[in-house]
Amino acid sequence: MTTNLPFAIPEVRHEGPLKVTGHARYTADHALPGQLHAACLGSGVAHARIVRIDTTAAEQVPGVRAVLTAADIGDVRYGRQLRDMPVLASDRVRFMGQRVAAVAADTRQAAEEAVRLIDVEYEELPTLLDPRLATTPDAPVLHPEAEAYRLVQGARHAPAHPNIQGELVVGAGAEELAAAFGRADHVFEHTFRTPRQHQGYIEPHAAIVWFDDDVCHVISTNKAPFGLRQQMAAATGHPVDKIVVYNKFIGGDFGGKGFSLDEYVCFYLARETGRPVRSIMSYLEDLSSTAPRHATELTLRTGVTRDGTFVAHSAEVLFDGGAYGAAKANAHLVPHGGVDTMSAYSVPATHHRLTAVYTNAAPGGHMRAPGDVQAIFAGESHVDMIASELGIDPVELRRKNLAGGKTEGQDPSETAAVIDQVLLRAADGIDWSGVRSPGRGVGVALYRRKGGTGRGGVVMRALSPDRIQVITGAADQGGGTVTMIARVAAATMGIPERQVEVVQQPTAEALFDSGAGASRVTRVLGEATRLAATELSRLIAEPGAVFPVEVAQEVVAPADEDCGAYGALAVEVEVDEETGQIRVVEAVLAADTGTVISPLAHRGQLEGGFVYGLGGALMEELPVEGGQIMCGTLGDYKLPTSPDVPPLRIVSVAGESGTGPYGAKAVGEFGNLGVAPAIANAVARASGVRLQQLPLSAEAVHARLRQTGPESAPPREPGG
Amino acid sequence: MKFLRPETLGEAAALAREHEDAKFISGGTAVVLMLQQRLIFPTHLISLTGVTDVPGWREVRRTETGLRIGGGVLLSAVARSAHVRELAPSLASAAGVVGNARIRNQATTGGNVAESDYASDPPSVLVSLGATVEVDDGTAARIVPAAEMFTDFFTTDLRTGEVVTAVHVPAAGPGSHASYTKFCSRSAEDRPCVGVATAARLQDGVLASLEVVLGAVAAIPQRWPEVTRAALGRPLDEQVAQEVAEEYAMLVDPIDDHRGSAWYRREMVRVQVRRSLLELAGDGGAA
Repeated sequence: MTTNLPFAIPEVRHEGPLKVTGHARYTADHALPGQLHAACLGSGVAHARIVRIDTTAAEQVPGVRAVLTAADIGDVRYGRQLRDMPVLASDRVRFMGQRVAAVAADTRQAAEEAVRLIDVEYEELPTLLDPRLATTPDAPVLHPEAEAYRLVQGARHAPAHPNIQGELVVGAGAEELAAAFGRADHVFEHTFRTPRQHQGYIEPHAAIVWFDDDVCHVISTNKAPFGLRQQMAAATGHPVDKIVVYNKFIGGDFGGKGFSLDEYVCFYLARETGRPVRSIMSYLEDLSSTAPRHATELTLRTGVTRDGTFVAHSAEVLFDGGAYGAAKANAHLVPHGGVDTMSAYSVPATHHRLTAVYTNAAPGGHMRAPGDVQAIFAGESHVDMIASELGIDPVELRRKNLAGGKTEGQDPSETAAVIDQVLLRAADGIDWSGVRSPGRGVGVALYRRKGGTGRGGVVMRALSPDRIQVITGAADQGGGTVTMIARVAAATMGIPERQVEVVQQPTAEALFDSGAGASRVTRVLGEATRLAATELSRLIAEPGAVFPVEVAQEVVAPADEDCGAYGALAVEVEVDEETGQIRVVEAVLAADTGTVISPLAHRGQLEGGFVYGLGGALMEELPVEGGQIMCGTLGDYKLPTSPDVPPLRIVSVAGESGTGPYGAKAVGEFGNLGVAPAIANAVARASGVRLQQLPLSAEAVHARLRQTGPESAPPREPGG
Repeated sequence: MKFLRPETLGEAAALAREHEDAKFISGGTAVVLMLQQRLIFPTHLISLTGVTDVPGWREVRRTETGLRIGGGVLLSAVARSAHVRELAPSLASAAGVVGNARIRNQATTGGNVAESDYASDPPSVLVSLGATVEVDDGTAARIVPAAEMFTDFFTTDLRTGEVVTAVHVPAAGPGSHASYTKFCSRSAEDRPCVGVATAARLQDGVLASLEVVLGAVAAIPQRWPEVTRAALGRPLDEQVAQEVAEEYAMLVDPIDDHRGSAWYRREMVRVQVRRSLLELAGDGGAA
């Protein structure tokens, strides 16, 4: 192992030249000989029984090669874990935009024209749009056949109510929790709401599928090629070893590219026509029918002693799961991050109940730190509200309760010291105690983000002592996977980086990889590369080594691995008291993110994460009215642009070593976490307005400043 | 869908009359968005970029009365034009905040008028400045006041075959001041929640004329001349600004959209009209 690591030198992206010269080929850039174009008919109603589908006119359109409905392919269900999503709706549609029919034609225009001519007769059913009503006696049951649903792997634990998608209950038992709350001098309870949000990637979902004898080939935007292969096999019955996925370049992901829709319709259209079939979503389809962040309602309860010590905490987290659970990647079928409401604190007794329910909206999915974003907004707002009611400074209240900080009879742990440093550096950076002009205020949020988990492997091959290849099945969604692998390999072997070539291979060639998600890539593939490179160095140094020399290495990071990074974000805001507009004047992010392998990508993830969080805090919302998504374009669904972004200072705090290669930690889903609560807390201190729902819009602030409770401007509620 | 490239205005107009579901396209920033969103399904697109016989099509010219801005002049060129900045600075401001640099380098003055987008910045300014629109169908030209050009959401007084060939803006006289305020409620790069165009002339310290026109709050630019007339003969001060703002907020019947509810828009009309007029007063004090 090299002791003098070359990671301080800023990286040059291996795939960069291909991208900036336009030579990188994304899914939609591929065109195969004889390729047909797909278009799908989405449901125009939120909940209905399908009475009849007439495709006669569509079939007559010149250039149309196939028109498929569930009558042709059967009731085929797919999902990342829960297989409840039909490829094409059979008897019932459950959200507006759900696919009912698919067309393959010589041109996209012909396919779209045919789609327009498909006539569907619906018998509308009562809709369920408010997740809070999902388990009430009058609620329509969305999936009467739910008992028959299967997981991709293993059996499904039957939920208590048919409208419950998934549930996770963790923490202390009822008695212990009640006893803990009994020791509190004060109990605080607050409810928070966060909206549906879209991942905002630029490249829309796309796929090309073709058959070569009985082998099904897939190029798609899915960031987990091995997962896609397995899910397609489970849904279609096609043997898993006869599906080959080639994904390489992905134009943005943010959690949205783990779930696929196009691949399935293309599979059946390609099988029907015997030709390659390509589908490229319009952004309208991406906004209305893929899997946005779950709208969430969180009720937090915390017991506190007179001096501000947290003694008990519970959280009820209700996720609007939408019409299908198919987009969630874990077997509990809830966004796990919902348990992180008090992630940076030591609380003797905690209890979390996370529930995802069915509603007649687009399926809820994963988006940059799924569940954590909602939990940390709620938790860190809650902590400030407690501080305010107790009359304790918010930074001091946090310091009093740091994780690992107050085990009885022991000195604070090293962890607590690190968190304390993280918090203080952020607070100092924003001049926490400084005097401010009217309308200005500072706020802080403190959090822990868990490290990456999952499985993956690389094959390393020395063609000669100075020519090394690393073979991976990972798709790079822009995070810098290829470059990270090359740097770890070169550093470990003590060779120049230019001697390392990273080769992205399809599923048929490469070792299994869980995919670019759950902050796992550096932790798992980076560590696999380090181990493989160590072994390869040893082998090629042996006398009489015969080239090529090859090493295969797999790594598993268990789900319960105890590794996390702490972050504190402090901001100063200015609130316009006449318009309610919030301007973030400055921000400071302090973080213990371990060894940095690629300095530019690391900084990019932290800065980009901050901007991502800024959008979620101030403007991003995918409203649904009567089941209809009200944003059809990125002009309506507003993402932040450069003029919205304040100066951001990043302060690195030396902390505990990470479990990634050379002590690296995950940062991909880290920088966005503190933004919304820090701003909400700063707005409360600047203007007296405490908002308990996102986004923190100018209108919401203004309404509270005016205290009119205007009928024409009711607060938007999840599913409302 | 067929893409047609006529070389003369007459040809373009004839094509538009020939094909019922045809659309003119110039910079394409509006038409292409509508096509992408499947809001329109024209059978033919008639490009105006190859038309060569419209005099001053891509030019800003000074005239005896002010400015003539050709229908093909890019919004970025309007924003940069020394003539526009001198004679109609509020129009230069509005043209300079439409969309983003990529949009402004593509979108044209004529297209902006013809689209009649309720949330676009220039229309309210054109109305506030008393601009007129020159339209031509290849056989006959006519002049339409900007205030009468915009008739409804995405609807204008244009007849089949008519193209916006130019916009005429009267020059600001001595003592004139004008401004455009774009109030965005979400991102800094967004369409306005409320736009306020003002134009005033001060003589001997009192208002000789006053126009206040609201954009983005309703289908078309909104103005209440009876309100602004009541301010004439008075200095442009806090009290006048407050009164006009209150009256406008009371009279406006705002829409609801992603950028604000009707309630919030009314509130912001009150704030932004007052702020705009006070800014103008500050400006006028120095003149």
